[in-house]
Amino acid sequence: MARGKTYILLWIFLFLLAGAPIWWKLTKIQRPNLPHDGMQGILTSITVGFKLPIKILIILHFRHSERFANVVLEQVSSRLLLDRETSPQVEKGMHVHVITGTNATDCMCLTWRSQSVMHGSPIQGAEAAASVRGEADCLAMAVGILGDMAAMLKPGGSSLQELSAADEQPVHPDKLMERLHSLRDEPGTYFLIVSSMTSSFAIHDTPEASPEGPAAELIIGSQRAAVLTLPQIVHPDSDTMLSIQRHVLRNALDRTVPILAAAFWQDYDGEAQAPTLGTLHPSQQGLPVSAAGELLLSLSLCNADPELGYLVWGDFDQLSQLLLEPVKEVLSPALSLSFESQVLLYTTTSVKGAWSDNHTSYVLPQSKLPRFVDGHWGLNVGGGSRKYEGAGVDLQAAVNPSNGVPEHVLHFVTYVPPPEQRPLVVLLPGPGKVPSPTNSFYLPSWGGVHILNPEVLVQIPSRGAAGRDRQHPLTKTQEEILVSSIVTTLRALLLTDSTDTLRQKFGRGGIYYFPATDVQTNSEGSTILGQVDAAEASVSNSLDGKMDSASLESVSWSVHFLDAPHSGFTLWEVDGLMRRRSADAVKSAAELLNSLSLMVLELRNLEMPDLIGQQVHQALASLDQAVEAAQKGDYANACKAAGMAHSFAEAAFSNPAILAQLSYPPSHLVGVYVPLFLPLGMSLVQAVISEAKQLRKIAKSATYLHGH
Amino acid sequence: MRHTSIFVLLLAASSALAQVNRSELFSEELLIERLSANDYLVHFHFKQSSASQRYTELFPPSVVHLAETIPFKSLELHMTSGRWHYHRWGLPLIPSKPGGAELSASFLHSISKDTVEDSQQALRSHWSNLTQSLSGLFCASLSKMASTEAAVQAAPSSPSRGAGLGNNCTQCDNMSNLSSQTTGSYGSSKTHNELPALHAWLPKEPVCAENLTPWLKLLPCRDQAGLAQLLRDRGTLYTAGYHSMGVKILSHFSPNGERVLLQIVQTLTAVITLPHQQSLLHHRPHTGGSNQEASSPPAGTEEVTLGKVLGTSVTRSCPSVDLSRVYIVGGQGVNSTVEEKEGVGEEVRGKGSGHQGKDDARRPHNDGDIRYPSDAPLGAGFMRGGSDGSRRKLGVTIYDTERISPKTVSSLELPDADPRWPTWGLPRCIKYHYFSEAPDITLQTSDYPVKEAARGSSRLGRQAVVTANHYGDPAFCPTWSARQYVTGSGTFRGHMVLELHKSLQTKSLLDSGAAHSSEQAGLMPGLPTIDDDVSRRGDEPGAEGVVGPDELCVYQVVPWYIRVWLHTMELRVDGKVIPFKPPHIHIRHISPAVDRQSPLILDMCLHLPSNSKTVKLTTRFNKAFLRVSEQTPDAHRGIDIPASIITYHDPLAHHTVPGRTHHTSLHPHHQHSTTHLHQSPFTTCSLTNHVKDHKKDSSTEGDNASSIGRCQRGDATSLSQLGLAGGCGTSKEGGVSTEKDLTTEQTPLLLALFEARYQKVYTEGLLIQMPTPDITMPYNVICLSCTVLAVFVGSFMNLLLRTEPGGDLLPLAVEKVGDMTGLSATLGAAAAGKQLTGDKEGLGASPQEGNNGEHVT
Repeated sequence: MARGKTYILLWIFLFLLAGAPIWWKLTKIQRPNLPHDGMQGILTSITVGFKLPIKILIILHFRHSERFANVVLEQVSSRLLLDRETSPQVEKGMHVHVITGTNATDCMCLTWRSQSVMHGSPIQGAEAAASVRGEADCLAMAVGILGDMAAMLKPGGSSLQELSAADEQPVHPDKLMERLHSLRDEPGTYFLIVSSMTSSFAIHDTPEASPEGPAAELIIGSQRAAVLTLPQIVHPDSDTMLSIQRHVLRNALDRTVPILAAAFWQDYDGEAQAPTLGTLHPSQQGLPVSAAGELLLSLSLCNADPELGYLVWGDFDQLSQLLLEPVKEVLSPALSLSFESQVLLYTTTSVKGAWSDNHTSYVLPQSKLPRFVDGHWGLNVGGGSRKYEGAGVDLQAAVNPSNGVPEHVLHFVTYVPPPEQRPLVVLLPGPGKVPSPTNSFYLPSWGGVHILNPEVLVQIPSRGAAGRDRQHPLTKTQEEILVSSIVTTLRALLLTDSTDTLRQKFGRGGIYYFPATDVQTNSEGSTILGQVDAAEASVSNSLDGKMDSASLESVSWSVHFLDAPHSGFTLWEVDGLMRRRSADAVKSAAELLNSLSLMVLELRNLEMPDLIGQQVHQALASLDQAVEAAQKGDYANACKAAGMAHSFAEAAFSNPAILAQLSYPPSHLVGVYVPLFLPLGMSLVQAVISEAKQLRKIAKSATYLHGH
Repeated sequence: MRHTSIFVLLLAASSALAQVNRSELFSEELLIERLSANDYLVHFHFKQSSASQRYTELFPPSVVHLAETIPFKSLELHMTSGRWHYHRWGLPLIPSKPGGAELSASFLHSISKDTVEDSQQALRSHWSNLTQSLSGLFCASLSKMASTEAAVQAAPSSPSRGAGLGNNCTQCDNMSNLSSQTTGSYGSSKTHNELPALHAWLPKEPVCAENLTPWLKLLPCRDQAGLAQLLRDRGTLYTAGYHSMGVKILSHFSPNGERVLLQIVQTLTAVITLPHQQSLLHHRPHTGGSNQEASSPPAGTEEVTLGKVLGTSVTRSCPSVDLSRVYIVGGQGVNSTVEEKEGVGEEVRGKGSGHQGKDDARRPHNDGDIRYPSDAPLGAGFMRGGSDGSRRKLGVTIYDTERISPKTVSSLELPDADPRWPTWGLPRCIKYHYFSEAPDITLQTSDYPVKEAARGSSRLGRQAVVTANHYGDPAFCPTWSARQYVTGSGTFRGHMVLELHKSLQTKSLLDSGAAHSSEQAGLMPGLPTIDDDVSRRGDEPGAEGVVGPDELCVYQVVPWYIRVWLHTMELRVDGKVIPFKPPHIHIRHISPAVDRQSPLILDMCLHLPSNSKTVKLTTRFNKAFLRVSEQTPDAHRGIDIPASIITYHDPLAHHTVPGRTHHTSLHPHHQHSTTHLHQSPFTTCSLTNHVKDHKKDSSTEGDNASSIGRCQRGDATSLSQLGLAGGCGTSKEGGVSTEKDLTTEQTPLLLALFEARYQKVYTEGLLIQMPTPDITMPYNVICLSCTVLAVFVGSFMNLLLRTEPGGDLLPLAVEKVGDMTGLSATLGAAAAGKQLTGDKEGLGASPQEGNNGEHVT
């Protein structure tokens, strides 16, 4: 009997020995090893610390008084660096370099880093200080501090005085800034020229354009530079005037520096701004681009009633080349923009305008606008503008995951109302019920609608005219207005709330309407797009170029935003767009990886292909590259790497292999294992009971023997 | 050479386009034919062309995206519901399609990737992307075609390929239904290779309005204006007995690989059956008199108009259209022409809005603010009907809808039903029944009742007498019809049967006119026809009669899970078994099925005696075992097998194909002899030649050209070069011109009608029941296996834990007591042995155990 038991035990052992590997193999879940620590930790490590740094090169340019320059330096640095409410991001990596030339032959360069600013006075925290003579050398030193750009200085010296062309010949600030950018033009590096030479720069053709005379003036250029012109004082070396000057400076800087900060680095954190006017601004919904940073702008020319004539694109190729390509080019560092066009007929809408005697036209109030676009229009949804490489596209999915992800589509509809509804105008919100100057509106994350009321379409076709004879191409002016609206739509949908609000503060229009746009033609005949927002606020007192104690409390100041001709987007706006897109992409990638890790850990029976593991590793590597590039201040590579990381994370998270998995609840296992364990359990329970009885018998027998 | 000439043509077209500054063209055409007393065929044909490289205006951008992202050369998609009833509706003017979805596409491939593996990979990749894109574009389940199980490379080809029967135009015989005329300019030169075309069928794919909506969005005016407005009544459209929606996209490339032209052709074919009561209401008794009497409506009866058939109307014309035509087979224009020729009179009788007199017709019509010159037809003509476009002559009334009021379009009157036509379910075409053994059928009177004819043909051994007139029009009926079914039961006893039946009318006509055909064939030098082949093959074994043998080609795709035993194929002709080997069988292509990889592709031709009437092809099959994941969602319904495709040259084709100066029309409206001078388009291989011939005819005919018509627009040349123009149509404004041959027209619809060169007949799709999975089976398996395991474990436990009854207890107890054991204790125990035994019994011990205890004692 013992031998039989031995055999049984041997067989059980052999059964387990052979069956355990088989069981292990059959029940093994196919899934790659994912770096869960990295996937979960990156959400807190990278996204918080991920910042594209900003470098500010401040050039103080005063010819007459060293003491005055010191006061200016003190005020500027205090306003720019220490006011955390204005620039709370200073402590997170902003580098500030100040180059101060106290007179024509002397300048000094100071460099701050954020940590020093936090713990001490800016002067004490200066890492480098030097004093050289000569304005050209000052610029050279400034460039030298920032890098090895000194070699780019032209032989003979490009002095600031030369650049500013002296007081007698005011130049356009953008020309000066172009010269500065020829020395150093990098995203994230900004020049701030603080000068007292009010007549040196002018945004108008003639210096007399500002009748109030020299005052505090901030000119924000279309590139990465700004000029802050401070009031000129009569006796700059006297103590009284210096105190006056300090007060005036503080007053001027209080008004101008927040605007400057909002323009250059307000979006530095990449955080959503507070809602404006009770509505959700597009900037709070994330950038309307795909994970790969692709954006398709679908331009539709919708003719509601083409019976008597309809509009078509004249030559869209030419329109694209002349007017849209500059926009595409200027935005290319941040996103990939593409266009498509179509003409739609019979695009009727259920929203009808009501006749208004005041406006002598049909008007559309704001409440009707959300239902204006009809789903039957047949607007193209894109999805195919990207060329793919054909063979091996599946293999390339691991390398370039954007192959399978469609681009984000923004619609821009030009609506031509039916003849019985013309002219149709859009009213601005508010009590005034003023018509929108651009007669257009936009819908967040969807696009914009521009209403065009042509006069030419009222012609009745001649007898027997063919259908094609009823079509009228857009005129040049209509095209320019149209593209201007397109650019404004893009600005509203892409730029941050701060920039948009900044523009609106000095411009016109409400939150759902385009700010006013002007189309100008310069002397070369090319088209200038964009806005000329030159608003002067609180011009209270003209100092006529001089200042005394009586005018301490009222300082005339003005802000000018220079436009980017041909493109509509200034470089500093594109920089902000890159910062925002990088931050969004990194944040989205980290969130996706974190979610994927949590899901994989939660669903233990989830099978995954090895491709997901590769994509996760590539996403993490791209995130590392983005961080490394960000530390170097390399905007382009950081933006690219962040986009790649987002694309890989998106591809891994939305892998069809995961989505196609059958998901069943854990209770499902009860149905599988109860039939297995219940019979087994019965045998075991029966054996246990039998053994218990046996042991009780033995105990009784022992007791009996012991008793006897 | 052909490619070169067409490319030159395209370059000329591009230059012409540059001159007129028009890079996009759009045409819309509609063809209506009354098929029976109750059934109407409506065929919409929309064509758009764009020479733009990047941006388009009215041309759908989604198609441009498709062409930019996927390097396809051509693609053709058809989604069909219902089936074309050949015996009720005759031979379709437009080739019919089998039920479900059918997709064909050919691609270009860069020459840099010249290995076979790369080509195959590129082909599969292109195909996968294309099916996915089309699936999203048309809201259909076309992505199911992406797998290698669904797509095949071997396309059904013409019956003349490889069989020795054919004309001299075999390069035109691309059975992919992609016109050689329009696709011949592909850049097959130095930079691109052409990958083989892929074909796939989804016989189960349903077609509904959600497919039509994106289809309509590809049109410039959608269904808001133009002829497409007639598609707004979805109820009428989707209750039709046959409904086929098609899209064909063609990319034309220059020799350097750049796309120079993109075309999209959208077709929609439907056979709409009017209610019986309405049909009876419009039934007009045939008095045997003139056509004037036949067409005059009785007082109080309502006319059948286009709008009433489609349940909607046209309210406005699409402003972007370049060509808009309506063709009504028969109709006012044809009747007028006949009346003129027969000297009935100059005046055309007015019949409502659609039958205005000539004076009224020429009167301008004012519709709102737009003035239309006339509401009268543009003209009339005849064209060759039938799927091969060669043997059937049809009188057609043409309306230029740009020149007539849009509201007039929907009120166009459709031709009257012939009183001799059968009604409600009775076929107009009579076929040989499989079991009727050579009935002696003759063609006799013209007034034989149709019902008797149909009944007679279906009875065994009964002599049927049918008429060759009208309802039994041989040109109306297909020569061969086919049906397919499965027999057997279970998994291993299935039979797949394909039956082919010859048309009774066709055979009778062939028998009666064989001598005439033979004579005609001899008078057509330089134009090899099937008659030449027939005469050549007249000496072959099995060839009988004067006409010669028939050649039928069968193309069948069978999924891998239906395992067809090819060696069991059996061929019966007129009930007699024919050896399944040459010369009766010519296997052109066989691709055996591979499990879960590729289907079976069978392409073969049958060479039959000319007097053969029925053919039966049988083969055995069994069913593979499908995994759970391979089952279709509706597994209990069964699995659909694509329809068989039967192709053959029409032996009747040259009974009416001209080339000579005189021939007799078989069309009922043209019983009189007419004289026509024209070149048959079916002997040309390219559009270029066709255009040249047309120009030559126009130039040489002199004054005759004026009777054909003059161009209506100055840019007609560029339009015709792009295949959009109506050519030089009849331009008698508001009047009815003399009859002309529409084969010289170059409108997209007519060109499409003349593309096919042989007849193609589809069978029904097969539905085969497969073993369906029992979803409770996994749980059953679990329970069974667990029970077995439990029994196994229980047995083991029993064996392990079982102890010897009684005998083992004492030593254990003694062991438990320990050292207290002594002799006294032993003796005491021995003395108490009886008592101990009693305790054991009290504990349930058996008597045997008690004996054991005693034995121990």
